Amino acid sequence: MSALLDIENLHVAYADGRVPVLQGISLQLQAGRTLGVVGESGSGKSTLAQALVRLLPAGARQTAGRVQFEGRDLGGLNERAMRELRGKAMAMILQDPLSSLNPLLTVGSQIAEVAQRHLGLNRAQAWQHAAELLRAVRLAEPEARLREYPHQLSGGMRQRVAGAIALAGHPQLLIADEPTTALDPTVQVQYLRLLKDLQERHGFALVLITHDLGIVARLCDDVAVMYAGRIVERGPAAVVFGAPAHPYTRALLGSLPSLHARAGALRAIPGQPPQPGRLPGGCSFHPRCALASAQCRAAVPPLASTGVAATACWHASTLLPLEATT
Amino acid sequence: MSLLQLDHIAMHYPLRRSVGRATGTVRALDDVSLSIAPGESVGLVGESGSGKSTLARIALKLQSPTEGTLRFRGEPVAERGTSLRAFRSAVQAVFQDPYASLNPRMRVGDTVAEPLRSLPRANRPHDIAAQVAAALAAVELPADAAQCYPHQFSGGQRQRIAIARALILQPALVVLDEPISALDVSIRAQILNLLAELRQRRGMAYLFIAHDLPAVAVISDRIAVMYCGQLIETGPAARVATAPLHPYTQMLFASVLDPHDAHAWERPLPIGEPASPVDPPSGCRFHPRCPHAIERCRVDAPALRDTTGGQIRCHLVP
Repeated sequence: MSALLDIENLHVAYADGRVPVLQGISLQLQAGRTLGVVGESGSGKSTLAQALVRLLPAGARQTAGRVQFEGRDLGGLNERAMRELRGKAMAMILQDPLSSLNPLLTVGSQIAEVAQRHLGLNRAQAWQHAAELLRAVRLAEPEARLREYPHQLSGGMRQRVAGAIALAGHPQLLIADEPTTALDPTVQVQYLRLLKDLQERHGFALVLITHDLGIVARLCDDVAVMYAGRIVERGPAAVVFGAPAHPYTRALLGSLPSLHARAGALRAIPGQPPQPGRLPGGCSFHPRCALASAQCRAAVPPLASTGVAATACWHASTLLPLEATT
Repeated sequence: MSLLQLDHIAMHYPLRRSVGRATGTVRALDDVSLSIAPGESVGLVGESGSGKSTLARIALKLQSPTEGTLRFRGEPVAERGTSLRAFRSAVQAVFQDPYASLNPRMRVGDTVAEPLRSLPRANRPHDIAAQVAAALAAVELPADAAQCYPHQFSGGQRQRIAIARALILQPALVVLDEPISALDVSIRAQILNLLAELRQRRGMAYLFIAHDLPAVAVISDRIAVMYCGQLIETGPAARVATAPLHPYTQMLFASVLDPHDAHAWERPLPIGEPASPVDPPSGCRFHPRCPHAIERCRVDAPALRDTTGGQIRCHLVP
């Protein structure tokens, strides 16, 4: 079966190609599956989301590679065809719903607009559809909410509205970029469970972009760990979190404080994540890696299969399996 | 004797609809009492609207409460004069955003030296440069950092600069308001380790505020939990984090998604959203979201009472 989303050797760079931010990203996502993309600032994870919907910021451009969606090369589509795809087959949820919602329009008209444009409904049908969608995202009193403006809602409610807008065109693919980072922890868990329930009901595939390893471990089928514009580890979430192979993934999981592990020094990772355009030579993680050797400083390791998963590390084959449980 | 004591603090704001008479009251804090012992690390947790950042501002004397008293070493903190200046030297702050809290046009050395230079002339040390170098060394920054500007540093390094500035007057208490939430995941453990080590070496007290609950559990001796302007539970950090008593504390800590905890997803789903301090619910403020609420919780506001090693505000906890 061919993948719903097929990214092949994607390169994106800023400043006329001088500052690479994505270097050779290859990923596949099957219909109805969930892919988690984890990384820190500067890892390129948000640029990846923007490249998927072809909404790269000014100054950034795709310098190589291909993104295929439902077997079609998105690079070959004109802006009009792309706009038809966005908001319908591909939808997006961003971190801050206050900036993605129009403050001057009611919630109802913003959802109904999508339904009218993409589903060909008339105004009355579209408003009815909007009420159903608000019910689907479990907002209380949906009819009353339809007539309200974004500022009248709490952060959690706004993010549910953003979810309803994303669902309005019956998407095949939902891209969520840090959807719960601005939410309180109890509201975050509710929203993530809602996303999962909606996915089971509507069957869309989900790309979840986040810095939060706990979210990915719980919510995703597959994980791609990004560092400095490259995927350093990729595989089923249970494998990547249960037996992480890349030194970065291992160190990151090992550095997290836990409710049950009190006192004692945390195993911090030394140094800083590199900024785009100022990458060290060879493996980008080598200045922070305890295993770094001459080979690591000299050459970029390829993302190589380790069975069910893949790891970009020269030492992957010699690493002992690590008990991830603390 | 406690180092810092917040005594029956209330912070109420009149609520106005554009212009005109007050139409209501925002009860940002209601009768909050919390004391911090010398050298103690107290973690303050709660969601948006719980009042934790308002309490931090009051503890720093950046704003005055509408009711209640702030005491330092037993004495009420004065509104002006030498006693307020002494308080300002002894209690320092580190805030969330190291991009906003450092002056971009000031060299790092001057930023770190500023608290020393603002001391009255008689108390000003002669070896400012040496003290700045020592403070930068204490936060593990290179000595030549003093000559650089903030934009030359990453977020984690900027937070180290902010910590160096907070430490240079040898404070007895540092209020840390979300000091790691703007930092990258791989940097957070570095800063937490640094804070723990500095406290151990210098015997300072911390008031540590964060929404990252595992980080609070690691750094604190004692945790205080706030909900909708009130303290609802206090106790030893390990006990509150692993065996919380209040139904809200249970809900809050159950929402932590630890990648090592395969059962994190199976816990009961939290109900509702944090209550608003604009129009707090009757009775127990948590009752609309509480899975165990009984009729009494709807009408009768529970008092904060002592339990073994802490305090609790709930009718249902024996």
